[in-house]
Amino acid sequence: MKSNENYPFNPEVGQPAELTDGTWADFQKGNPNQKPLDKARQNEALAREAVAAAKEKEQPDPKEFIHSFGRGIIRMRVIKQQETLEHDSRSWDTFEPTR
Amino acid sequence: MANVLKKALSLLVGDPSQVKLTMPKSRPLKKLTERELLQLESEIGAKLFGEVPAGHRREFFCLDEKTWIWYEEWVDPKTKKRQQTTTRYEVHEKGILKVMEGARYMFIQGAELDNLVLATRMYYEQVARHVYKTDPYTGQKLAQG
Repeated sequence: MKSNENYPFNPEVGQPAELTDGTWADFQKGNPNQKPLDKARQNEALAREAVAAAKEKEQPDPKEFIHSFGRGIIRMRVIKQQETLEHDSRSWDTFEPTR
Repeated sequence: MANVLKKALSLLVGDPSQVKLTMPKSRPLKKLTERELLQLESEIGAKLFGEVPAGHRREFFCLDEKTWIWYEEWVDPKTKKRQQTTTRYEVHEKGILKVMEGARYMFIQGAELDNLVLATRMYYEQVARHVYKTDPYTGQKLAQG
């Protein structure tokens, strides 16, 4: 365990995961009768911390970046063409030659 | 008599020689084809990498959502022959595949990959603003100046 302060923090819901079973509450109160965390729980906590740390360090995938820019361009291109077509049909309805 | 009739007709329907069809500057009747939009985009894309050398023609554009094209054309000073090269960058599951003439292909990495990410980002931002008048971050239409 790196830090008891974060265990057993559940990042999914933003609160201690085991608040209801008394363990975490006892720990916060400094209950002298609290049993030490078992090995399985320690490992679980370590794994959770490792995953969270890895997510923080994770760099965005360059190919996903490039793909997302491509998607954005195509989306704007399609919208532009649709707008032009709509504009055309409206213009013909109200078109009057200018003298 | 003929002159009077001509003048009367002119007053009624106007002088045909004076009629001008003036198209609005925004050309509302002009339909922009995909090709024309690509050309507008490519004008921006070509300038992303600095000054194009004299005698060169460069194009850089997004062909489809997974394909980016770099085209360069120039005259060889020794042979005086026109040269051209096309490089295609394709998004694949495994990475970005660079495809060149002569069945040369490789997944790019390092500085080339970093530069391509930067180039596509600049392309997206500038094309969004200047061709599609759209805020690249929000996707909202920019106010027409």
